[in-house]
Amino acid sequence: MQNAPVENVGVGDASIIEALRRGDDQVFTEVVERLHPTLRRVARGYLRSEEAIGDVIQETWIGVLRGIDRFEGRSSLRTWVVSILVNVARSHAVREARMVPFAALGLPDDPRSGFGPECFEGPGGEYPGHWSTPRTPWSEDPVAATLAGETRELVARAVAELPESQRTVITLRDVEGWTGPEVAATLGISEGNQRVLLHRARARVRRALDQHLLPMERRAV
Amino acid sequence: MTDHQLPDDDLPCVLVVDLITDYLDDALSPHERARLEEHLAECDDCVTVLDQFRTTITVTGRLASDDVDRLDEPTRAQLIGVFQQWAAGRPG
Ligand SMILES: [Zn+2]
Repeated sequence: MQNAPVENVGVGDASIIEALRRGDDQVFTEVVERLHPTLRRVARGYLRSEEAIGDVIQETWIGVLRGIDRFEGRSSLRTWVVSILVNVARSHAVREARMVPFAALGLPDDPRSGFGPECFEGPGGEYPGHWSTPRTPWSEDPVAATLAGETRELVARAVAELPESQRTVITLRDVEGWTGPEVAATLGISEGNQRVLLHRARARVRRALDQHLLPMERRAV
Repeated sequence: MTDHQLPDDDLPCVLVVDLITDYLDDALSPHERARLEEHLAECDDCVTVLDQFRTTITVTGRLASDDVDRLDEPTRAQLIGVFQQWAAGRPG
């Protein structure tokens, strides 16, 4: 699923597009139902209010229908729909004046993988660039703990607090299970940039889990 | 594929952690991948961190089963209305 080749994702899209062009509301409802959770999760990265999210989703579908005769199927249907949503959500966010440029890869002092320089030996150390203190494996199994609720809340909050670009990428990749090429195409960024954003996002969530799961006395700085 | 300009001698952990997502995405060159795996074979700490990233991905994936994002009845009705209005206005 995670590594499905991108060309397989859109199998069946052509007949769906045909049905939508014919005005088949049964097929439209199925597509809306399938994509709705994804659209909501991505929209929430840009807008907070339920009202604004609802507006953005409606405007997205209007945009999809307006453009459907021109859609050539070079990307998958969901890639196309989500790329329209991102554009609509961003223009709403601009109007709400809480816009961060999409290209922003994070604060300059934000270590890319979530480990500050104090985690590694300096150039004068015995092994420069190697861990200065041993890493502690998580004692609790967070996969099991997510079912308990508290860990799940923590991860949801960590994702919600990410910068918009990172949040969108981790939502599509790790929550929705999309491929890297699909996400890059949706956002109009390179696959490499997509991975940089994803790595930073995962690093922040990992750090939040680390602080939550490590026993107090062994907790890293 | 990105060229990471890795140093010739042993890969330091500080570089290894930056390559984790590239590694999991299979976006490293065969040479880079081999260097990384050589390091992992010798460094338990980096294996711990790699495992933590893998677990993080699994745990994040659990957010997908959130019921609050399912399509609700008023929204469904509203969007079908949009569709029918659009379909009715089409020529032919
Ligand atoms: Zn290491």
